[in-house]
Amino acid sequence: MNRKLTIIELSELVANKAQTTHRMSELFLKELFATVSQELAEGRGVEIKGLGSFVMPTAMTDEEDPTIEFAPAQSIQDAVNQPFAQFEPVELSDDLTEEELRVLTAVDGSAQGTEVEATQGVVGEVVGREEPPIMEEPPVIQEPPVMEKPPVMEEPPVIETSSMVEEPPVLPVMEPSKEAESEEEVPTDKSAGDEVTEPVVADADEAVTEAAEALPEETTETVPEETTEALPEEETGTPEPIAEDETRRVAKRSMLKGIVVGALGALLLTSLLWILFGPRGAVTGSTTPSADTLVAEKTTTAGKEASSSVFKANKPQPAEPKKDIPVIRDTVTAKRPLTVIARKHYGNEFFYVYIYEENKDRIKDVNNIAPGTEVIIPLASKYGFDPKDPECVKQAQLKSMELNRAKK
Amino acid sequence: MDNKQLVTHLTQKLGRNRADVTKLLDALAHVVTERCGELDSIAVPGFGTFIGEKHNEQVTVDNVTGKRMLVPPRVELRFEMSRVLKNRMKNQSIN
Repeated sequence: MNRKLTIIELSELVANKAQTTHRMSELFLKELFATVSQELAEGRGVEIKGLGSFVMPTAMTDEEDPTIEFAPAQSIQDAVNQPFAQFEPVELSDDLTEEELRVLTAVDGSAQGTEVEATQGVVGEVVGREEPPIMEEPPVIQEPPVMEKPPVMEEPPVIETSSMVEEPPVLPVMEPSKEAESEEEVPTDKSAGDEVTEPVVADADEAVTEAAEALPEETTETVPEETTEALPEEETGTPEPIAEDETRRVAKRSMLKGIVVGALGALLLTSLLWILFGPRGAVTGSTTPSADTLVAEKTTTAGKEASSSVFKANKPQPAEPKKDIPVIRDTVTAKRPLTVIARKHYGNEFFYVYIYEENKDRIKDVNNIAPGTEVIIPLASKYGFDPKDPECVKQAQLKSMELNRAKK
Repeated sequence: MDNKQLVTHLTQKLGRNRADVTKLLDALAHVVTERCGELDSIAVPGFGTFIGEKHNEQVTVDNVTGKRMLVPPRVELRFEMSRVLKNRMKNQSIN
Protein backbone atom coordinates (compact mmCIF):
# COMPACT_ATOMS: atom_id res chain seq x y z
CA MET A 1 0.00 0.00 0.00
CA ASN A 2 1.45 3.32 -1.13
CA ARG A 3 4.89 1.78 -1.53
CA LYS A 4 7.26 2.89 -4.20
CA LEU A 5 8.81 -0.08 -6.00
CA THR A 6 12.25 0.29 -7.53
CA ILE A 7 13.33 -1.13 -10.86
CA ILE A 8 15.18 -3.92 -9.04
CA GLU A 9 12.07 -5.05 -7.21
CA LEU A 10 10.08 -4.80 -10.43
CA SER A 11 12.65 -6.91 -12.24
CA GLU A 12 12.47 -9.58 -9.52
CA LEU A 13 8.70 -9.67 -9.66
CA VAL A 14 8.70 -9.93 -13.45
CA ALA A 15 11.34 -12.68 -13.34
CA ASN A 16 9.26 -14.67 -10.88
CA LYS A 17 6.14 -14.18 -12.91
CA ALA A 18 7.73 -15.06 -16.25
CA GLN A 19 9.84 -17.80 -14.67
CA THR A 20 13.11 -16.53 -16.09
CA THR A 21 16.36 -15.36 -14.54
CA HIS A 22 16.69 -12.00 -12.85
CA ARG A 23 19.36 -11.08 -15.31
CA MET A 24 17.08 -11.75 -18.22
CA SER A 25 14.17 -9.75 -16.83
CA GLU A 26 16.50 -6.87 -15.91
CA LEU A 27 17.89 -6.77 -19.42
CA PHE A 28 14.41 -6.95 -20.88
CA LEU A 29 13.09 -4.07 -18.75
CA LYS A 30 16.12 -1.94 -19.52
CA GLU A 31 15.77 -2.56 -23.24
CA LEU A 32 11.99 -2.06 -23.21
CA PHE A 33 12.00 1.29 -21.42
CA ALA A 34 14.96 2.50 -23.47
CA THR A 35 13.05 1.71 -26.66
CA VAL A 36 9.86 3.33 -25.45
CA SER A 37 11.57 6.49 -24.23
CA GLN A 38 13.51 6.70 -27.48
CA GLU A 39 10.27 6.47 -29.43
CA LEU A 40 8.61 9.04 -27.20
CA ALA A 41 11.58 11.38 -27.42
CA GLU A 42 11.27 11.20 -31.17
CA GLY A 43 7.65 12.18 -30.88
CA ARG A 44 6.05 8.85 -31.65
CA GLY A 45 3.54 7.02 -29.53
CA VAL A 46 4.02 3.46 -28.33
CA GLU A 47 1.47 0.76 -27.70
CA ILE A 48 2.18 -2.08 -25.30
CA LYS A 49 -0.37 -4.87 -25.34
CA GLY A 50 -1.88 -5.55 -21.92
CA LEU A 51 -0.41 -2.41 -20.40
CA GLY A 52 -1.62 0.53 -22.41
CA SER A 53 -0.44 3.08 -24.85
CA PHE A 54 1.72 6.16 -24.56
CA VAL A 55 0.54 8.79 -26.96
CA MET A 56 1.66 12.26 -27.73
CA PRO A 57 -0.90 14.96 -27.06
CA THR A 58 -2.59 16.06 -30.25
CA ALA A 59 -1.46 19.65 -29.81
CA MET A 60 1.88 20.23 -28.16
CA THR A 61 1.03 23.42 -26.36
CA ASP A 62 4.19 24.12 -24.46
CA GLU A 63 7.58 23.18 -25.88
CA GLU A 64 9.22 23.93 -22.54
CA ASP A 65 7.04 21.39 -20.74
CA PRO A 66 6.29 18.46 -23.02
CA THR A 67 3.81 15.81 -21.85
CA ILE A 68 2.71 12.43 -22.92
CA GLU A 69 -0.60 10.76 -22.25
CA PHE A 70 -0.80 7.26 -20.92
CA ALA A 71 -4.00 5.37 -21.66
CA PRO A 72 -4.11 2.11 -19.70
CA ALA A 73 -5.51 -0.90 -21.52
CA GLN A 74 -9.13 -1.79 -20.73
CA SER A 75 -8.08 -5.14 -19.24
CA ILE A 76 -5.68 -3.52 -16.79
CA GLN A 77 -8.22 -0.85 -15.91
CA ASP A 78 -10.86 -3.46 -15.12
CA ALA A 79 -8.41 -5.57 -13.11
CA VAL A 80 -7.32 -2.62 -11.01
CA ASN A 81 -10.93 -1.64 -10.34
CA GLN A 82 -12.03 -5.15 -9.46
CA PRO A 83 -12.86 -4.27 -5.81
CA PHE A 84 -15.37 -1.68 -6.96
CA ALA A 85 -16.81 -3.66 -9.85
CA GLN A 86 -20.19 -4.13 -8.18
CA PHE A 87 -20.83 -0.40 -7.83
CA GLU A 88 -22.53 1.70 -10.40
CA PRO A 89 -23.22 5.41 -10.47
CA VAL A 90 -26.47 6.06 -8.66
CA GLU A 91 -28.74 8.98 -9.26
CA LEU A 92 -29.51 10.85 -6.08
CA SER A 93 -32.98 12.13 -5.48
CA ASP A 94 -33.49 15.19 -3.31
CA ASP A 95 -37.21 14.64 -2.97
CA LEU A 96 -36.83 11.39 -1.09
CA THR A 97 -37.77 11.85 2.55
CA GLU A 98 -36.21 9.93 5.39
CA GLU A 99 -39.35 7.83 5.86
CA GLU A 100 -39.64 6.87 2.22
CA LEU A 101 -36.02 5.81 2.30
CA ARG A 102 -36.69 3.69 5.35
CA VAL A 103 -39.58 1.92 3.73
CA LEU A 104 -37.53 1.35 0.58
CA THR A 105 -34.63 -0.13 2.45
CA ALA A 106 -36.98 -2.22 4.56
CA VAL A 107 -38.59 -3.63 1.44
CA ASP A 108 -35.17 -4.29 -0.04
CA GLY A 109 -33.98 -5.91 3.13
CA SER A 110 -36.90 -8.29 3.42
CA ALA A 111 -37.03 -9.07 -0.27
CA GLN A 112 -33.38 -9.69 -0.90
CA GLY A 113 -32.17 -10.54 2.54
CA THR A 114 -29.43 -7.97 2.35
CA GLU A 115 -27.93 -6.70 5.54
CA VAL A 116 -29.16 -3.25 6.20
CA GLU A 117 -28.49 -2.33 9.77
CA ALA A 118 -30.55 0.81 9.77
CA THR A 119 -33.69 -1.01 8.77
CA GLN A 120 -33.69 -3.38 11.66
CA GLY A 121 -36.02 -1.19 13.62
CA VAL A 122 -38.33 -0.85 10.70
CA VAL A 123 -38.35 -4.55 10.13
CA GLY A 124 -39.27 -4.96 13.75
CA GLU A 125 -42.19 -2.64 13.26
CA VAL A 126 -43.33 -4.50 10.24
CA VAL A 127 -43.21 -7.72 12.16
CA GLY A 128 -45.17 -6.11 14.91
CA ARG A 129 -47.80 -5.20 12.42
CA GLU A 130 -47.90 -8.56 10.85
CA GLU A 131 -48.24 -10.53 13.99
CA PRO A 132 -51.37 -9.12 15.58
CA PRO A 133 -53.68 -10.38 12.84
CA ILE A 134 -52.20 -13.82 13.29
CA MET A 135 -52.73 -13.61 17.01
CA GLU A 136 -56.27 -12.50 16.64
CA GLU A 137 -57.38 -14.86 14.00
CA PRO A 138 -57.87 -17.82 16.29
CA PRO A 139 -60.66 -16.19 18.25
CA VAL A 140 -62.57 -16.00 15.03
CA ILE A 141 -62.20 -19.68 14.43
CA GLN A 142 -62.39 -21.00 17.92
CA GLU A 143 -64.82 -18.85 19.75
CA PRO A 144 -68.00 -19.50 17.87
CA PRO A 145 -68.42 -23.11 19.03
CA VAL A 146 -68.11 -22.03 22.65
CA MET A 147 -70.21 -18.94 22.21
CA GLU A 148 -73.32 -19.18 24.26
CA LYS A 149 -76.44 -18.05 22.59
CA PRO A 150 -79.04 -19.67 24.76
CA PRO A 151 -78.31 -17.49 27.77
CA VAL A 152 -79.36 -14.69 25.58
CA MET A 153 -82.67 -16.44 25.13
CA GLU A 154 -83.00 -16.59 28.87
CA GLU A 155 -82.41 -12.92 29.13
CA PRO A 156 -85.87 -11.47 29.19
CA PRO A 157 -87.05 -13.37 32.25
CA VAL A 158 -83.86 -12.47 34.04
CA ILE A 159 -84.32 -8.81 33.51
CA GLU A 160 -87.97 -8.87 34.40
CA THR A 161 -87.58 -10.68 37.65
CA SER A 162 -84.26 -9.60 39.03
CA SER A 163 -83.27 -6.01 39.41
CA MET A 164 -79.54 -6.47 38.83
CA VAL A 165 -77.36 -3.46 38.41
CA GLU A 166 -75.02 -4.90 35.81
CA GLU A 167 -77.67 -5.85 33.35
CA PRO A 168 -78.78 -2.59 31.78
CA PRO A 169 -75.37 -1.30 30.74
CA VAL A 170 -74.35 -4.66 29.31
CA LEU A 171 -77.45 -5.36 27.32
CA PRO A 172 -77.45 -2.53 24.81
CA VAL A 173 -73.92 -3.44 23.83
CA MET A 174 -74.78 -7.06 23.42
CA GLU A 175 -77.72 -6.76 21.12
CA PRO A 176 -75.98 -5.21 18.12
CA SER A 177 -72.89 -7.31 18.54
CA LYS A 178 -74.94 -10.44 18.50
CA GLU A 179 -76.65 -9.40 15.37
CA ALA A 180 -73.32 -8.72 13.74
CA GLU A 181 -72.00 -12.09 14.66
CA SER A 182 -75.08 -14.10 14.03
CA GLU A 183 -74.24 -13.93 10.33
CA GLU A 184 -71.51 -16.43 10.80
CA GLU A 185 -72.66 -18.34 13.79
CA VAL A 186 -74.16 -21.75 13.31
CA PRO A 187 -77.35 -22.82 14.98
CA THR A 188 -75.54 -25.81 16.50
CA ASP A 189 -73.88 -23.35 18.83
CA LYS A 190 -77.12 -23.06 20.67
CA SER A 191 -77.17 -26.69 21.56
CA ALA A 192 -73.60 -26.44 22.79
CA GLY A 193 -74.60 -23.50 24.87
CA ASP A 194 -77.50 -25.43 26.28
CA GLU A 195 -75.20 -28.09 27.46
CA VAL A 196 -73.08 -25.59 29.25
CA THR A 197 -75.85 -23.75 30.95
CA GLU A 198 -78.02 -26.67 31.99
CA PRO A 199 -75.55 -28.27 34.36
CA VAL A 200 -74.98 -24.92 35.89
CA VAL A 201 -78.65 -24.53 36.59
CA ALA A 202 -78.81 -28.04 37.99
CA ASP A 203 -75.89 -27.37 40.27
CA ALA A 204 -77.41 -24.18 41.38
CA ASP A 205 -80.69 -25.93 42.10
CA GLU A 206 -78.97 -28.43 44.31
CA ALA A 207 -77.22 -25.69 46.14
CA VAL A 208 -80.45 -23.86 46.61
CA THR A 209 -82.30 -26.77 48.04
CA GLU A 210 -79.64 -27.55 50.57
CA ALA A 211 -78.64 -24.11 51.79
CA ALA A 212 -79.28 -20.85 50.14
CA GLU A 213 -78.13 -18.34 52.70
CA ALA A 214 -74.38 -18.87 52.38
CA LEU A 215 -74.27 -18.34 48.65
CA PRO A 216 -75.34 -14.75 48.11
CA GLU A 217 -72.16 -13.32 49.58
CA GLU A 218 -69.97 -15.33 47.27
CA THR A 219 -71.83 -14.65 44.15
CA THR A 220 -72.00 -10.99 44.79
CA GLU A 221 -68.28 -11.07 45.26
CA THR A 222 -67.66 -12.86 42.06
CA VAL A 223 -69.84 -10.71 39.93
CA PRO A 224 -67.66 -7.64 40.04
CA GLU A 225 -64.65 -9.83 39.41
CA GLU A 226 -66.16 -11.12 36.27
CA THR A 227 -67.09 -7.72 34.99
CA THR A 228 -63.71 -6.27 35.77
CA GLU A 229 -61.98 -9.16 34.13
CA ALA A 230 -64.07 -8.90 31.08
CA LEU A 231 -63.22 -5.27 30.61
CA PRO A 232 -59.43 -5.60 30.21
CA GLU A 233 -60.04 -8.27 27.66
CA GLU A 234 -62.02 -5.82 25.66
CA GLU A 235 -59.24 -3.34 25.98
CA THR A 236 -56.59 -5.77 24.87
CA GLY A 237 -58.54 -6.25 21.71
CA THR A 238 -58.64 -2.55 20.94
CA PRO A 239 -55.24 -0.99 21.67
CA GLU A 240 -53.63 -2.10 18.45
CA PRO A 241 -54.59 0.45 15.88
CA ILE A 242 -53.67 -1.45 12.76
CA ALA A 243 -53.50 0.19 9.45
CA GLU A 244 -54.89 -2.60 7.35
CA ASP A 245 -58.66 -2.81 7.12
CA GLU A 246 -58.68 -6.51 7.58
CA THR A 247 -56.75 -6.47 10.79
CA ARG A 248 -58.93 -3.69 12.06
CA ARG A 249 -61.99 -5.75 11.31
CA VAL A 250 -60.53 -8.75 13.08
CA ALA A 251 -59.68 -6.60 16.07
CA LYS A 252 -63.18 -5.17 16.12
CA ARG A 253 -64.70 -8.59 15.94
CA SER A 254 -62.54 -9.94 18.73
CA MET A 255 -63.46 -6.93 20.80
CA LEU A 256 -67.14 -7.55 20.22
CA LYS A 257 -66.63 -11.14 21.17
CA GLY A 258 -64.90 -10.11 24.34
CA ILE A 259 -67.89 -7.97 25.18
CA VAL A 260 -70.30 -10.74 24.36
CA VAL A 261 -68.38 -13.26 26.44
CA GLY A 262 -68.22 -10.87 29.35
CA ALA A 263 -71.90 -10.08 29.03
CA LEU A 264 -72.77 -13.76 28.84
CA GLY A 265 -70.75 -14.43 31.94
CA ALA A 266 -72.60 -11.68 33.73
CA LEU A 267 -75.89 -13.06 32.44
CA LEU A 268 -75.12 -16.52 33.68
CA LEU A 269 -74.28 -15.11 37.05
CA THR A 270 -77.43 -13.09 37.23
CA SER A 271 -79.53 -16.05 36.20
CA LEU A 272 -77.78 -18.06 38.88
CA LEU A 273 -78.49 -15.30 41.34
CA TRP A 274 -82.05 -15.17 40.26
CA ILE A 275 -82.43 -18.87 40.76
CA LEU A 276 -80.89 -18.55 44.17
CA PHE A 277 -82.61 -15.40 45.27
CA GLY A 278 -85.96 -15.52 43.55
CA PRO A 279 -87.38 -18.66 45.06
CA ARG A 280 -85.43 -18.25 48.26
CA GLY A 281 -88.47 -17.37 50.33
CA ALA A 282 -90.31 -20.41 49.08
CA VAL A 283 -87.31 -22.65 49.41
CA THR A 284 -86.45 -21.63 52.90
CA GLY A 285 -90.07 -22.10 53.77
CA SER A 286 -90.30 -25.59 52.33
CA THR A 287 -86.93 -27.07 53.30
CA THR A 288 -86.14 -28.13 56.78
CA PRO A 289 -84.85 -25.12 58.69
CA SER A 290 -82.54 -27.25 60.87
CA ALA A 291 -79.58 -27.37 58.44
CA ASP A 292 -76.23 -28.04 60.08
CA THR A 293 -73.53 -25.42 59.75
CA LEU A 294 -71.22 -28.13 58.40
CA VAL A 295 -73.65 -28.92 55.64
CA ALA A 296 -73.89 -25.26 54.89
CA GLU A 297 -70.15 -25.01 54.59
CA LYS A 298 -70.03 -27.98 52.29
CA THR A 299 -72.63 -26.53 50.10
CA THR A 300 -70.85 -23.24 49.95
CA THR A 301 -67.78 -25.01 48.68
CA ALA A 302 -69.99 -26.87 46.26
CA GLY A 303 -71.43 -23.59 45.22
CA LYS A 304 -67.98 -22.21 44.77
CA GLU A 305 -67.08 -25.09 42.54
CA ALA A 306 -70.23 -24.62 40.62
CA SER A 307 -69.64 -20.94 40.12
CA SER A 308 -65.98 -21.48 39.29
CA SER A 309 -66.97 -24.13 36.78
CA VAL A 310 -69.23 -21.57 35.24
CA PHE A 311 -66.31 -19.20 34.97
CA LYS A 312 -64.10 -21.88 33.56
CA ALA A 313 -66.64 -22.44 30.86
CA ASN A 314 -66.59 -18.77 30.00
CA LYS A 315 -63.21 -17.32 30.74
CA PRO A 316 -60.78 -19.62 28.97
CA GLN A 317 -62.20 -18.71 25.59
CA PRO A 318 -60.19 -15.53 25.12
CA ALA A 319 -57.13 -17.17 26.65
CA GLU A 320 -57.29 -20.29 24.50
CA PRO A 321 -56.16 -18.71 21.23
CA LYS A 322 -52.80 -17.98 22.77
CA LYS A 323 -52.18 -21.68 23.24
CA ASP A 324 -53.35 -22.78 19.82
CA ILE A 325 -51.98 -19.92 17.81
CA PRO A 326 -51.75 -20.94 14.19
CA VAL A 327 -48.07 -21.59 13.70
CA ILE A 328 -46.20 -18.97 11.73
CA ARG A 329 -44.23 -20.66 9.01
CA ASP A 330 -41.45 -19.50 6.80
CA THR A 331 -39.34 -21.11 4.13
CA VAL A 332 -35.58 -21.18 4.06
CA THR A 333 -34.11 -20.26 0.69
CA ALA A 334 -30.61 -19.76 -0.58
CA LYS A 335 -30.94 -16.02 -0.08
CA ARG A 336 -32.91 -16.27 3.14
CA PRO A 337 -31.10 -18.36 5.71
CA LEU A 338 -32.36 -18.75 9.26
CA THR A 339 -30.62 -15.59 10.38
CA VAL A 340 -32.47 -13.47 7.84
CA ILE A 341 -35.75 -15.08 8.82
CA ALA A 342 -34.96 -14.43 12.47
CA ARG A 343 -34.24 -10.82 11.69
CA LYS A 344 -37.53 -10.54 9.88
CA HIS A 345 -39.61 -12.02 12.65
CA TYR A 346 -37.78 -10.89 15.76
CA GLY A 347 -35.67 -7.98 14.55
CA ASN A 348 -32.38 -9.64 15.39
CA GLU A 349 -30.53 -12.41 13.61
CA PHE A 350 -29.23 -14.08 16.76
CA PHE A 351 -32.70 -15.32 17.63
CA TYR A 352 -32.35 -17.89 14.89
CA VAL A 353 -31.25 -20.25 17.68
CA TYR A 354 -34.84 -20.40 18.90
CA ILE A 355 -36.15 -21.11 15.43
CA TYR A 356 -33.59 -23.88 15.20
CA GLU A 357 -34.65 -25.23 18.61
CA GLU A 358 -38.26 -25.25 17.49
CA ASN A 359 -37.42 -27.08 14.26
CA LYS A 360 -34.69 -29.40 15.48
CA ASP A 361 -36.53 -32.40 14.08
CA ARG A 362 -36.39 -31.13 10.51
CA ILE A 363 -33.03 -29.35 10.52
CA LYS A 364 -30.05 -31.69 10.61
CA ASP A 365 -27.29 -29.12 10.35
CA VAL A 366 -28.06 -25.56 11.30
CA ASN A 367 -25.28 -24.29 9.06
CA ASN A 368 -26.42 -26.22 6.04
CA ILE A 369 -30.16 -26.15 5.65
CA ALA A 370 -31.59 -27.31 2.37
CA PRO A 371 -33.34 -24.45 0.54
CA GLY A 372 -37.09 -24.94 0.59
CA THR A 373 -37.16 -26.28 4.14
CA GLU A 374 -40.24 -24.97 5.90
CA VAL A 375 -39.66 -23.90 9.48
CA ILE A 376 -42.04 -22.97 12.26
CA ILE A 377 -41.43 -19.59 13.82
CA PRO A 378 -42.06 -19.94 17.55
CA LEU A 379 -43.53 -17.13 19.55
CA ALA A 380 -41.03 -15.20 21.58
CA SER A 381 -43.05 -15.99 24.69
CA LYS A 382 -42.63 -19.72 24.12
CA TYR A 383 -38.93 -19.51 24.78
CA GLY A 384 -39.32 -16.63 27.15
CA PHE A 385 -37.23 -14.05 25.36
CA ASP A 386 -37.93 -10.48 24.48
CA PRO A 387 -36.53 -9.51 21.06
CA LYS A 388 -36.08 -5.93 22.20
CA ASP A 389 -34.17 -6.74 25.35
CA PRO A 390 -30.39 -6.49 24.82
CA GLU A 391 -29.92 -9.05 27.58
CA CYS A 392 -31.93 -11.59 25.60
CA VAL A 393 -29.94 -10.76 22.49
CA LYS A 394 -26.79 -11.52 24.44
CA GLN A 395 -28.25 -14.79 25.61
CA ALA A 396 -29.21 -15.76 22.08
CA GLN A 397 -25.70 -14.85 20.98
CA LEU A 398 -24.22 -17.13 23.61
CA LYS A 399 -26.57 -19.89 22.58
CA SER A 400 -25.54 -19.44 19.00
CA MET A 401 -21.87 -19.71 19.98
CA GLU A 402 -22.57 -22.87 21.96
CA LEU A 403 -24.46 -24.28 19.03
CA ASN A 404 -21.56 -23.65 16.69
CA ARG A 405 -19.09 -25.14 19.16
CA ALA A 406 -21.25 -28.23 19.53
CA LYS A 407 -21.37 -28.60 15.75
CA LYS A 408 -17.62 -28.50 15.54
CA MET B 1 5.24 1.94 -32.73
CA ASP B 2 2.64 -0.72 -32.14
CA ASN B 3 2.92 -3.85 -30.05
CA LYS B 4 4.06 -6.04 -32.94
CA GLN B 5 6.89 -3.72 -33.88
CA LEU B 6 7.93 -3.39 -30.27
CA VAL B 7 8.09 -7.17 -29.80
CA THR B 8 10.09 -7.55 -32.99
CA HIS B 9 12.48 -4.84 -31.90
CA LEU B 10 12.96 -6.44 -28.49
CA THR B 11 13.53 -9.94 -29.90
CA GLN B 12 16.34 -8.53 -32.02
CA LYS B 13 17.91 -6.63 -29.17
CA LEU B 14 17.64 -9.45 -26.61
CA GLY B 15 18.38 -12.31 -28.98
CA ARG B 16 15.33 -14.29 -27.72
CA ASN B 17 12.30 -15.60 -29.56
CA ARG B 18 8.94 -13.82 -29.72
CA ALA B 19 7.29 -16.18 -27.27
CA ASP B 20 9.81 -15.31 -24.56
CA VAL B 21 9.44 -11.59 -25.14
CA THR B 22 5.62 -11.80 -25.16
CA LYS B 23 5.79 -13.79 -21.94
CA LEU B 24 7.97 -11.13 -20.32
CA LEU B 25 5.66 -8.36 -21.52
CA ASP B 26 2.65 -10.18 -20.11
CA ALA B 27 4.50 -10.66 -16.83
CA LEU B 28 5.25 -6.95 -16.69
CA ALA B 29 1.62 -6.05 -17.34
CA HIS B 30 0.55 -8.49 -14.64
CA VAL B 31 2.99 -7.08 -12.08
CA VAL B 32 1.94 -3.51 -12.85
CA THR B 33 -1.73 -4.45 -12.48
CA GLU B 34 -1.12 -6.26 -9.22
CA ARG B 35 1.03 -3.60 -7.58
CA CYS B 36 -0.96 -0.60 -8.78
CA GLY B 37 -4.19 -2.38 -7.76
CA GLU B 38 -2.77 -2.29 -4.25
CA LEU B 39 -2.09 1.42 -4.69
CA ASP B 40 1.68 0.99 -4.91
CA SER B 41 3.72 2.88 -7.45
CA ILE B 42 6.49 1.59 -9.69
CA ALA B 43 9.34 3.92 -10.46
CA VAL B 44 11.45 3.33 -13.55
CA PRO B 45 14.52 5.54 -13.60
CA GLY B 46 14.87 7.61 -16.72
CA PHE B 47 11.37 6.79 -17.83
CA GLY B 48 8.67 7.54 -15.32
CA THR B 49 6.42 6.21 -12.59
CA PHE B 50 3.31 4.06 -12.76
CA ILE B 51 0.96 5.13 -9.97
CA GLY B 52 -2.16 3.44 -8.67
CA GLU B 53 -4.36 6.18 -7.32
CA LYS B 54 -7.66 5.76 -5.54
CA HIS B 55 -10.45 8.23 -6.04
CA ASN B 56 -13.15 8.16 -3.38
CA GLU B 57 -16.83 8.11 -4.19
CA GLN B 58 -18.20 11.54 -4.97
CA VAL B 59 -21.35 13.34 -5.90
CA THR B 60 -21.36 15.02 -9.26
CA VAL B 61 -23.96 17.48 -10.45
CA ASP B 62 -25.10 17.75 -14.02
CA ASN B 63 -25.19 21.48 -14.69
CA VAL B 64 -27.80 21.15 -17.41
CA THR B 65 -30.37 18.87 -15.79
CA GLY B 66 -29.42 19.52 -12.17
CA LYS B 67 -29.37 15.80 -11.48
CA ARG B 68 -27.00 14.58 -8.84
CA MET B 69 -25.12 11.34 -9.33
CA LEU B 70 -23.21 9.37 -6.77
CA VAL B 71 -20.09 8.13 -8.51
CA PRO B 72 -18.55 5.02 -6.95
CA PRO B 73 -14.90 4.92 -5.88
CA ARG B 74 -12.34 3.85 -8.45
CA VAL B 75 -8.64 3.21 -8.86
CA GLU B 76 -6.87 5.07 -11.62
CA LEU B 77 -3.66 3.83 -13.18
CA ARG B 78 -1.61 6.90 -13.88
CA PHE B 79 1.79 7.44 -15.49
CA GLU B 80 4.03 10.30 -14.61
CA MET B 81 6.98 10.83 -16.92
CA SER B 82 10.36 11.43 -15.36
CA ARG B 83 12.33 14.62 -15.60
CA VAL B 84 14.99 12.87 -17.70
CA LEU B 85 12.50 11.80 -20.35
CA LYS B 86 10.93 15.21 -20.32
CA ASN B 87 14.30 16.83 -20.96
CA ARG B 88 15.06 14.40 -23.76
CA MET B 89 11.78 15.23 -25.40
CA LYS B 90 12.43 18.94 -24.99
CA ASN B 91 15.89 18.69 -26.50
CA GLN B 92 14.56 16.57 -29.34
CA SER B 93 11.91 19.14 -30.19
CA ILE B 94 14.46 21.97 -30.08
CA ASN B 95 16.80 20.08 -32.37
